[in-house]
Amino acid sequence: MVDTESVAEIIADANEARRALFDLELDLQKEIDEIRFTAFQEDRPLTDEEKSRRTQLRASQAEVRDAHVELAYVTAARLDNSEEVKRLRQRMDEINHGLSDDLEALKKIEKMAAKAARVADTIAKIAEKIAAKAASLVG
Amino acid sequence: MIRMRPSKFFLSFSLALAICACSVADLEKPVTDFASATDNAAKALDQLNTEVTSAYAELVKKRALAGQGLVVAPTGDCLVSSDRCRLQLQARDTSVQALTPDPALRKMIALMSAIRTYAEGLEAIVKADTAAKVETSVNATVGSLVKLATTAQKAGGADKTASIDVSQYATPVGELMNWVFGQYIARVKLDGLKRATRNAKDVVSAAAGVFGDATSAAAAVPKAAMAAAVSKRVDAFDDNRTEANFNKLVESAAAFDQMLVAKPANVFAGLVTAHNALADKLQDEKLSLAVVTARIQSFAEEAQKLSKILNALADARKKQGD
Repeated sequence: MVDTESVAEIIADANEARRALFDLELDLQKEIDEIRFTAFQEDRPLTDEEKSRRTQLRASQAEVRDAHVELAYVTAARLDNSEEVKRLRQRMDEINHGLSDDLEALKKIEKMAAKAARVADTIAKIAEKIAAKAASLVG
Repeated sequence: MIRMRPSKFFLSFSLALAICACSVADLEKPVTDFASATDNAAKALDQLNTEVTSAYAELVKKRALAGQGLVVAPTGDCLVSSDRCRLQLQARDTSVQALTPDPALRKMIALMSAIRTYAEGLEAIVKADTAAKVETSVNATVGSLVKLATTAQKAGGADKTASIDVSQYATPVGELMNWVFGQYIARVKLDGLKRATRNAKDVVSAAAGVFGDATSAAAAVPKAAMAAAVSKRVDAFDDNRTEANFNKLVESAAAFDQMLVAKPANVFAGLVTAHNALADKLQDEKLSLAVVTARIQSFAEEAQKLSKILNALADARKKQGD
């Protein structure tokens, strides 16, 4: 698997494969529908031979569906490994770093205000003690 | 005597802050809803990753059990001195596939997780109770300054003690300080939100594009299972026309139709629309809040719809396996 495929290339490949699988599934379905419609028009159930043929066609359809599953996994994995995903992850990490900095800035404002309150409280208490001391000396 | 003289500068500064119009509070609900919807979209992508990887692993297992491949270890693996033991299934044309495949969307899950972190970061900023905490501190500071002023007044002596109640200044001063700090904090929040959403706009759009492509590809897995279920029900009804078989046929087709119409990739188109609305609102307040809310709501609904469908599929797959 190539690590630096572009998203556009990967999607183009997948679409081409998907179209081929769709055509195959459609052809198989048409054959199944023909068998069913013939029996319906003749107002009779399917013969054993027709049922056997239907089973074979359904098995082929199941293989086509398995191929869809495999294509889905391979395409998803190729997209996952694209350069685009790697680049976008780096950009998002930078943006999230910026947001963390903004939250830190808000916390700093809180801390500054809290510090100012503690300083003012300390000064007020010291002043009260000094005043009380001075009053006791004068008294 | 303590007197506060508002300077011309101070008034101008306060007015400048007031122009930010304190729109951060208005954005709290849309940002919170966006974060919640992004979380659901991330979970849906995770579920899809599980579905596509599990389905592929089942396929490889089925091929191994059917003898359609030979179980091999890559050269050098699974020996006493090996670093790894990673078994593979080798087909007759010598092509190989991992016996236990890695998750298909590992890096995209990590990218979506980074976007979820980003949405949570926006929410944390908009909800930060900085103003409330600062108000507590400002009130305490003003209280201490009043105490200090009173102490200083008393120290001036009985003849210096005038009938001035220092505390009459404290309330308006405290309120003014809280208002100024509140405006400043709102500005810091708004600038942070504007910067982040502006920077993230292209990234979220591009990421959602890749997620949409991956989702469209991965959606073939549940579609294959549902197409198989409909085929099975058609044959069962053809062979035995009972009401029960008819109902099961109709039910399976309806479920498949719902999946096809839902278009799983819509979730990520919704993510872009919602994020763009939020970013645009922050840059240019002319965009109405109602429009922003509606777009985020639409995104939230798509994420829930996809999640519901994938949950139902996962349950159906488990029942089939039992």
